[in-house]
Amino acid sequence: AAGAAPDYEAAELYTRVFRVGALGRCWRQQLGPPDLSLATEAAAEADAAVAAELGCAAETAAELRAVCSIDMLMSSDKEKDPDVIPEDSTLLTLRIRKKALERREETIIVDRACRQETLAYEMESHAIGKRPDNPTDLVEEGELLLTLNIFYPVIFQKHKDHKPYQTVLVLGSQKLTELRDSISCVSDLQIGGEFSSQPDQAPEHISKDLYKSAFFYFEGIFYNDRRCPECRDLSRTIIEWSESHDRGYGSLQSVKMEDYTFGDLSLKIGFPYLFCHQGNCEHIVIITDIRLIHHDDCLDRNLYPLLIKKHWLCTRKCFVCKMYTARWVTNNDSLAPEDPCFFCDVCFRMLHYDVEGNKLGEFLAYPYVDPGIFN
Amino acid sequence: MSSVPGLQADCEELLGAFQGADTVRFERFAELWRERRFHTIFYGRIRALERNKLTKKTLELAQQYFLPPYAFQIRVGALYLLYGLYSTQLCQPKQKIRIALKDWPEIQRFQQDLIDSQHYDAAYIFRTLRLARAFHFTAMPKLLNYRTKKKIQENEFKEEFKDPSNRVNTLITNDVLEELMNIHDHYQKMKCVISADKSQPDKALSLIKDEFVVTLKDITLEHQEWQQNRMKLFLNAKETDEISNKKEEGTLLESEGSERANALARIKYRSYSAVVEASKSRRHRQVKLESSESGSNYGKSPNRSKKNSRRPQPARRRDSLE
Repeated sequence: AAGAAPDYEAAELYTRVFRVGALGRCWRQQLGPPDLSLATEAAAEADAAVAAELGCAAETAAELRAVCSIDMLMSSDKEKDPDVIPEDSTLLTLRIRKKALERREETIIVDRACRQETLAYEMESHAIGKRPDNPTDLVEEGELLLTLNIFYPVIFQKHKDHKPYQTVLVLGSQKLTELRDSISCVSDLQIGGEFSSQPDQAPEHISKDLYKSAFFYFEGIFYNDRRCPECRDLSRTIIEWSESHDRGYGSLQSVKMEDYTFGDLSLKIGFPYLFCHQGNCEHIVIITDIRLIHHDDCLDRNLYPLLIKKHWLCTRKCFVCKMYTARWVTNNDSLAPEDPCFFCDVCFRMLHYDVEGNKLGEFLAYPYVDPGIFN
Repeated sequence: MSSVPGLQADCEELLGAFQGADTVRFERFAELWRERRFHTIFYGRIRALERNKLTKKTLELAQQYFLPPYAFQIRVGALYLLYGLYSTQLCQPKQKIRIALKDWPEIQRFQQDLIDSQHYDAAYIFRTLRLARAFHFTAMPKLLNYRTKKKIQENEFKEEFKDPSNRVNTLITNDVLEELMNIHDHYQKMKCVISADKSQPDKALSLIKDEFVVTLKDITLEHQEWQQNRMKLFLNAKETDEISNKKEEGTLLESEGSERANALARIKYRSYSAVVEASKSRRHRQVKLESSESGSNYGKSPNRSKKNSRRPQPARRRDSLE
């Protein structure tokens, strides 16, 4: 059934609640097969078809094709090279751009993409237009594509005001659990425990294996991951808290994450929601866009959820060699110049243990996973 | 997303020229486009990542002129502009034009209007874009990332591009008038039923003006005419480009934001002459006011208008002494 189309609840900020699946249905009702087609090439057109649809004569259709062709918008061959801004341009945009580019030329010695830019561009475009080998993996026509920003939990003070985030694309037909599995957070890799006496002992489990519970919160409903027996309902505390007094949150529900797809959800675009895992690691989630899939998008189902943007975090380097990423952190270390102090594996062992592997000096040592590990 | 510097000016200049050409033919638009070599707007040594962003913002800006409240001619111009920008962009694959579900019915209506009015070139172009799958069919026109801190850019779009804002007309529509008429008739009938003389209501029940619906309609029409005249006046005044007191013109033309300032400016404009005496060096190009308004004073009005715009606010000061 056609509901009202999504519209702003707070102007330019976020929309009213609406059902994601209904949006897809509404659009598909309004459009025809050529609009929804994912074929690589659009079908060519005969003048007769044009004439029929516009209600004009066939000769008019042919005339239209000539009059409205792209060639009418291109001027002479003078400006073939798009890198060169014409000298005498009347366009303000170009005059400003020219000045900016000239300034760049003067101040930047080598003007090429840094690795962050290369990474950003690659992430944005690597999956464009990809089609799977297996046709069953092809995304369906009329499928919905959601863009989500998943914010990093605030770890660094400098990120307080402009929180860094990842951008992920998901399909409307995908389950919430598929997104949950794709979210890589450094807190999942934490290894609990103090290992100064037994540095070689490979930790049994990383946090991801130990604490498997997680939930999404959208519009009054907690979607809890209950796939394995160890998973707990983390939202229960919140629901009990809300119900204990009249706190004005209405009735909050708890359901199973694995039973729902994105198309089943009711939500607002542009409104902050929550993903919580590891008991207290919280990520804000915002759906920034929902639209129909297009033939230029990635059409291989297996690549979704697709990460198209992530924040570049500089990794902390070893205090000694300044080259390798830190893997250990020590406290109360009599051998270290600062507290806490970070070391790579090699430097850590060389400093703190003798040839036989005996512990030298007093210190506490913890395995360290740098947030930038996902770069 | 911050805007592309200079782009709004260039687009408005082109659309303004198209509006001035007083046609909706694509041929004419293409001429204006070629004159300005508009396809070069994407030029410059820019790397792919930035070029993608730039192109997206360009299409986003142009797309806004395609929807109400802009005048029909501007919307057709915007359609041509989108066609031009989409086709001449340098991104591979091409950046798309976003259309939100809430705007689609209006766009359908627009396309039907074009076909019905036999503006075949415009209809053909929309059709071409659609067949080329140049659109992304979205929930909302822009991406929303809950950016509260960032100043929401108020795009001060030109007043002249919009259809004269007809808030009165949107309130008092034909449907409303018809409804009022029906209610009024019904009311009259009820009065008759309970009166002694069944053919007309008792004098004691005559509490409202019988003709008020008609009067309301007349007032609305009068308002609309006044608005159109005001718009014409503004366009005329624009042609004479020697209005030295730019501020005065500014107040006259701002959107409904500063209502009081506008009202004052309008009163000043009408009761005094709008013509400001040009400075001595430009006296030879003194503006002559040609107004169709009756009762306005012709000729010069020396420094009155200047003084008035810097009038102090004595009323307020008095109040604050309480």
